[in-house]
Order: sequence, then C-alpha cells, then structure tokens
Amino acid sequence: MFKQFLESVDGSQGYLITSLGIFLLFFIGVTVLLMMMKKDDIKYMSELPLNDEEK
Amino acid sequence: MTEKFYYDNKIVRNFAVATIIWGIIGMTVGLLVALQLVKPELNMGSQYTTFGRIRPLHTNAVIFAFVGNAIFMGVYYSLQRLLKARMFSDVLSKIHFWGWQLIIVSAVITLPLGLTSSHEYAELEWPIDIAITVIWVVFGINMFGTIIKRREQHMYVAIWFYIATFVTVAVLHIVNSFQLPISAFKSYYLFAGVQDALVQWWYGHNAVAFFLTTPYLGMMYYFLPKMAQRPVYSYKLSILHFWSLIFIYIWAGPHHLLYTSLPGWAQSLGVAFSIMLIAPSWGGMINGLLTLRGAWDKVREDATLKFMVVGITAYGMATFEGPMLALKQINAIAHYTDWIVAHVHVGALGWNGFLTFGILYWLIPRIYKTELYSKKLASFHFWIGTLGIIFYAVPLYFAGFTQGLMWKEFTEEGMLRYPNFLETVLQILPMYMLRGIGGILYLTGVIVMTYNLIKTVNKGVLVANEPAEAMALAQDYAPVGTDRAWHRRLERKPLVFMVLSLIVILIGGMIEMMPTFTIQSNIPTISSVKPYSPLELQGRDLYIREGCVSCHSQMIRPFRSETERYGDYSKAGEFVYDHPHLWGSKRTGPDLAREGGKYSNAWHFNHLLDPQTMSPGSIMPPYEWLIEQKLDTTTTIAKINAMRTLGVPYEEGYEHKANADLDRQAKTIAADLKQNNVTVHSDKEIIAIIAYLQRLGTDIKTK
Repeated sequence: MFKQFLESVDGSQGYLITSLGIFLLFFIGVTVLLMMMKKDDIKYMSELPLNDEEK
Repeated sequence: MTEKFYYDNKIVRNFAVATIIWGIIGMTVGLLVALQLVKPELNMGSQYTTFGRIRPLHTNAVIFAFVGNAIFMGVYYSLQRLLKARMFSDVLSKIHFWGWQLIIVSAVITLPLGLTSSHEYAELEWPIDIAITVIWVVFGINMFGTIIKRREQHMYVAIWFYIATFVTVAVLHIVNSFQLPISAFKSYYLFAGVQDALVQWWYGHNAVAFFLTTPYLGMMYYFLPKMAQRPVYSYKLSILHFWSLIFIYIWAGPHHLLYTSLPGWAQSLGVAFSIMLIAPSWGGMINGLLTLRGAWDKVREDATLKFMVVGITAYGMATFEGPMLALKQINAIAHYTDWIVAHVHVGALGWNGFLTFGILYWLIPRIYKTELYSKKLASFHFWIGTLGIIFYAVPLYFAGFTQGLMWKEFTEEGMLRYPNFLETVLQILPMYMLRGIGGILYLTGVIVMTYNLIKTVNKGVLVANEPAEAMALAQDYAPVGTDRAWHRRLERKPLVFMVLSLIVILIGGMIEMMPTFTIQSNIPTISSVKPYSPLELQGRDLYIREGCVSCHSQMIRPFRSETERYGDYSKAGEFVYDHPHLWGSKRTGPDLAREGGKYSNAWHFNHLLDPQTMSPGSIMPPYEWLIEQKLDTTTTIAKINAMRTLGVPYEEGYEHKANADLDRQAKTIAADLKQNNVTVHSDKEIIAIIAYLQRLGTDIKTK
C-alpha cells in the first residue's frame, strides 16, 4: 500500500525521510524528558483541577 | 499570605447564553440547508436564502458562534480556577464578549448578501477578518494577563492546550487572510491556484485541529476530572499527547487535496502525518475515558458524564476515520461525497456538541448555586441527541459510499454506467431525508436542554463574583528539588511556552509550504493559459458570490472515471490566475472544471433560470435574479488593477479598455442567445456568469 506513495514522490524521498526524522527526534526527545519527571510532581500537577475550590 | 479575590462568573454565564442561542440558530440553519437538498423549493426563491449563500452561514455559525462561545465559556471558567485568579481585566472580558458577538452578527448579515471570500470556513470578508484579529488579540492579552498574575505556580495541562489554541489560530487566521481589498467588502487572495489551495487547506485542516480539537481537549482535561471527582488517568500521557498532537496536526492539511494538482510529495507528506495522527489523538481519547476508571457507576446515573463519554468516543471514532480517509485508496472514493459530511458531523455533533452540553449541565447549576431543574430531561436530551447523531451519520455514510462507487462504475463495454450525474444524486435523496430527521432529533434535544437550563437558572441566583482565597506567589521564587526539572520550569514560563508551541507548529507548515511557493517546477506553467477576460472575471466573482463552489468542484482527478465524465484531468498550470482557487470540496452537482463549451449559452441561460427544465429532478435552486440584476461594471477597473498587482499579466492601461471589451463580449453572448430565442439585455449578470462558465477549462481543452 505504501509503495504507491513512495513511487509518487519523484525523487523527493529525502523530503519525506527528513520530515519523519524531525518528528522522530522530537518524539524521542519528549519521551526521554518525560521519563525523567518525578512522581510527586506528576501527582501534584494532575490534582490541580480538583484542588481549586476548597481554599 | 492568603489573598481574597473573586472569580468572574458573569462573563462565563454570558458566553454560555451566547453558546446556546447561536447553537440553536446555527443548527436551525443547518437543518434548513439539509432539507433544501431534498426540497429545492425551500430555497424560497430568494437570493438571500439559497443554499450556496446560507451553507457558509451554517458552518460559520456552528463553528465560530456555537463552538467559539463554548470555548470561551470553558476557558474563562477553568482558567480562573486553575490559576487561582480573576480574569486579568473585566473590561477586556467585556470587549471580547461583545466584539465576538458583533463579528457573528456581521457574518449573519454579510454571508446571505453574498459577501464572501469563498475560502471554506474563512468566508468572511477582509474588514471582518481584521475585527477577528483584534478581538483574538484582546482574548490573548486577557488570557496571558491572567496567567501572569496567577497564584498557582504551575500551569495545568488544560492551559497548554489553551495557549496552543491561541497561538495557532492567530497564525492560521493571519496567513489565510492575506488578501488585497478592492472595495469595502470584496478582496482577492494574494495566492492563486495550487498555492491558494494549499494555504486554504492548511488553514481548514488546522482550524479543525486548533479550534474544534485542542481547546476542547483542554476543557476535557479540566471538566472531566471535576465531574468524575478524580485526577486525569495519566498526566505523563497528557504531556506526550499534547506535544505530539500539535506537532503532527499541522502537517496533515494536504490530505484534503489528494489526487489534485498539488505536487505529489506534499500529498504524500500529508498522508504520512495523517496516519501518524492516530497515535496522539487516541492518546487523548484513552486518557479521557480511563479518567473514569472506577467511576463507571456514576456514568449510569449522571447524564453529564454520559455526554462526556459519548463525546470522547465520538472523538475517537472521528480521529480514527480521519487518517483512514487520508489513505489515497479510500480518499479516491470518499472525497467529494457525503461521506466527508458524515465524518465531520460525528466530530461536530458528537465531540463538540456533546462536550458542550455536558459542560453546560455541570457548570450552569454551579454558578447559580442550585441543582439542575430536571435530570430526567437531561437524560432525555442525551438519548435523543445520540439517536440524532446516528440518524444523521449512518444514512450519509451510506449515501457517500453509494455515490462514490456509482461515479466510478463502468459497464462491460467500458462506458460509464451512470453517465448522467443527476442519476447518482437521485439515488441518495432518501438518505438526505433521513439525515434531515437526524438533524431534527438533535435540535429537539438542544431545545429541551435550553428549557431545562432556563428552569434551572430561574431557581437559583447567579453568583456573579464567587469569593475565593489563595496564597500569593512569592516574588522571588527559587525553585528547589524537582521544581528544577525541565517541564516544571516550562510550566512556570507561559511566554516561553507560547513561543515553543509556536515553533513546533511552524515547522510542519514551513516544510510543506515553502517549496510550493518558492520552487517554480512545482507549478509548471502552460503557455496557452491566459488571464480571464473582464466579463469572465466579473462572472467568476458572481460564481463566488452565489457560493457555487459549495456544490461544484473545479478539479478533475486523474481517474478514468473522472476523465470519461468530465474531460482531461486538471493541471496545476491551469489555475495560476485563479485568485482565489475554486477547487471546492464537495460534489453535490457535477465538476465544472471543463464546463466550457459543453453546452450552449441558451442551455446555461435556461438552466440557471430553472434547472429542472433542463435536468428534470435536479436539486439545484433557480437563479432568476441573475437575469433581472444589472452587472456592476464600476468595479472592473479596480479588479483588473488588483489582479495585475497580484501578478496576472494584464498589460498596463488595460483597465481603461476593459469595460469596452466586457461590453463587446457581453453583446456577442446576448446576440447568440437571441438567435436561440432567448431575449435578454447584455448588461445583465447572467451574461457574465455564462461567459465564465463557457471559459472554464477551455485553455487546454482538446476537442
């Protein structure tokens, strides 16, 4: 199925690959940084909407 | 030190009221246009109520008036509470509210008058575009002002979605509004043909992304945990899904232009990123649904949560279907058919509509310090609304699929099985009728909700200024421990966050658009393609005014089923003088890209006067006023000048000869009509539109 797309690119394959590469780098970057986040922070952040009325 | 302050609930209430009123109006107009397709008499014989002119009124009203006001309602409610601060400025809130309503009213007036730019979902003319920009900036200042004076150090995920919405909509709106005004309510787009189409669908697709999706995801991330009384399922997933969503979405626009004259590499890029889009979209959906883990018993009783669950599920269905429709093989059948209309309505009625209703049912009793008037009625609304969506979508899926296949069917001898386009339309009319019933059910639900909410409001009293307390932020904040982590830092810096989001969304847009705009070989020119004659140019503007593009495409795809039916497939070079492009996105009627010379002038005259005389059973409305109204030739000079500025090669000084040429061509057409027993004066509008139709596609037409 994807052969058809690649054939229709007419030598612009570099373009496609670069674009996917940029995204991959971006995605891996965000994932790595995510994994470095601390559990407590996550818990604090995720409870923000629930804590906005008591005080 | 603890500070006392007040949340502004009045502005939230105002936006809620506007949401409901415009919702009813927008959906009623939607119902009318849906029924016009079944009963052309419902066009009511007036130019101000024909399908072509009020279909954009429906789309603008439901997107920018109904959903727009709902976004502002949700943002103004949640932003204040998440940041523990009143909105930055009450004056700006008021300007924002009234300014936005004024813009909507101006749309309600100008669109039926035929004042349209023809860019889908951006039809409003340039003065209104400027007003939108101003009001959007007011909203931005108000939002960032609130963020800056906040009492909560960190920005919750909902707020990132709001920031991304603000930034991206601003970029989209500005780039898609590059127009050269020629009069108070008429302008030409700077770009032509392929480039204009690319800008339009980069805008169109991302208007869906950043007006109908990201703000609603933000609202989901705030209101759903509130309703379910538990935090979001995975906060990490929300971060990952936020950044991937805004990064990927911006690339996917070209999937609206598959098999068109857009360069192939841009189409492939659009397809690849559209498929990747499933991941972040479903990340959001799963995060939403799993937030309800352990709270499903509440869903059974609470109509509010029911609306949220079906809304989020509809989001999941639409965002799975979207990438599938972006596959070339499926797109080949689905594009230009009602399949697309069904697809967007699953998103619009399910995701945007149901989330809005859920939030209204939750929020109105709270700001009025009372209980909902009737849970039974809310439950009734839920069920009739769900039935409405099903009755709307299923028949249209069937209609789209049927018609798409009929267009492509050949007989054993290799001839088109349904050479008459109308045959494929008549086949699906019963489906249009069923769709109308779906619309009636859905609208009934909204009216029941309105009654329920009015009763609720009458029971309570608006807490216009809700008291709250919070610690002020320390002036000299020194991060310690985990507060130094990257995203924690980012969450404290709203402006840096905005710039980062901006960079992320610009990457995709730039990579896609730059080559099409800068590299000549992407749009090969054709020497026989010449600028429109003054009369044709005027006719083209009438075609735009009447919204013909709503039902007729001008883009023949390179399929045998299309070249057999319409003629040679469309080339990029044919559209270089088309400011704006009129490729269209839906074929309720046949494609017109090679309409020129197919029929006689007299045929077009009679067909526009009463389509049913030439095509019995046609659902096209009659356009009698074109025969009565005189063509306004005072604009010719300005139009020729504007086109030359935009690069159309009219020679210097031609603007002064243009009206003489126009007259000559008009008289030739009138004389030809007379020979065929049609008497009409050459200065009427219909002459211009016939001239334009007869020109279409003839530059490179092979006999």
